[in-house]
Amino acid sequence: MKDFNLDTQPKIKTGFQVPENYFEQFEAKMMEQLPQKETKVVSLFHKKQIWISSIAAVLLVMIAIPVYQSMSKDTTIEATTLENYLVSEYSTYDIIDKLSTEDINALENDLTLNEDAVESYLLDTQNIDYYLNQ
Amino acid sequence: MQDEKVFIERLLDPKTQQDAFRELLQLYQKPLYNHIRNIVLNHDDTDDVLQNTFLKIFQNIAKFKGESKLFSWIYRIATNEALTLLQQKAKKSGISNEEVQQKELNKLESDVFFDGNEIQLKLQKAIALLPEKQQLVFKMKYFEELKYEEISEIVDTSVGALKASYHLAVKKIEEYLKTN
Repeated sequence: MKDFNLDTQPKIKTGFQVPENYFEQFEAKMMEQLPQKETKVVSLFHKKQIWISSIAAVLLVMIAIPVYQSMSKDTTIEATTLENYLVSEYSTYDIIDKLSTEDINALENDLTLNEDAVESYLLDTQNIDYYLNQ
Repeated sequence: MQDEKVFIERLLDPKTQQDAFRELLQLYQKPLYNHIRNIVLNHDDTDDVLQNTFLKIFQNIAKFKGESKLFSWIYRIATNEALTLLQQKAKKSGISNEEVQQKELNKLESDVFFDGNEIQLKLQKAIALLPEKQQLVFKMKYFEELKYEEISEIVDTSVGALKASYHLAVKKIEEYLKTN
């Protein structure tokens, strides 16, 4: 094959073509994308807004903390309310399920019945004969 | 651009920004298009890269320190954007950068925006076989006819190294064209 010399050859072009009116359209397209940046430049207003928002946020926290604290004081549940809730919502078996052996032992100790009380209860109850015959 | 400093100030001033940017577009869109197209080869990718390039220029002009010429700073952004696109394409398809280029080359023959004859296509194929840096130097010197000094600022390599790189590239290409 004959020698090939790029410098003595007529210049070989790339062969790449561009769609018609591409550059005019490209210029317009790029110019349209510019205003986004301009709104960013107007930072004075934004700075003011940030200040106002910061002050508002601090005030909100100052008001919210005492309100939250006073509300949280009321959250201790009264024993009777809890009892009523347990009686109405849970069966005895549900409650037993939730108790550990230690809980049950502690309950039994608390509930050690005194004999006089049992006697007076039984005497007051109409079925005393029934119990005595058992 | 003789008054580069003044021009940059106009680009930063909200009042003159629009006009200055339009001037920048008119001045650079064609040479940058050619520069990017030489790297990514097809029109659609070039369009994307060119847009990103101008957006980056616009967003970062405030950070331009004037350490290099505006011209080389702009070309550097375009080159980086174009090479990044090739890398992203390679990553997406799980192939090497060279394979991406081969794929693009194969598509050239049926590309409506490529009217190259046989020798033009052969030249593109020969270039694709060169290492990335040699390709870049060859395209900028041979197709875009940039000066060594300009290329040197863009790719941050000494003029001597660029000359050596270009001559090596030319030799390899001539060898390829002789045998194919």
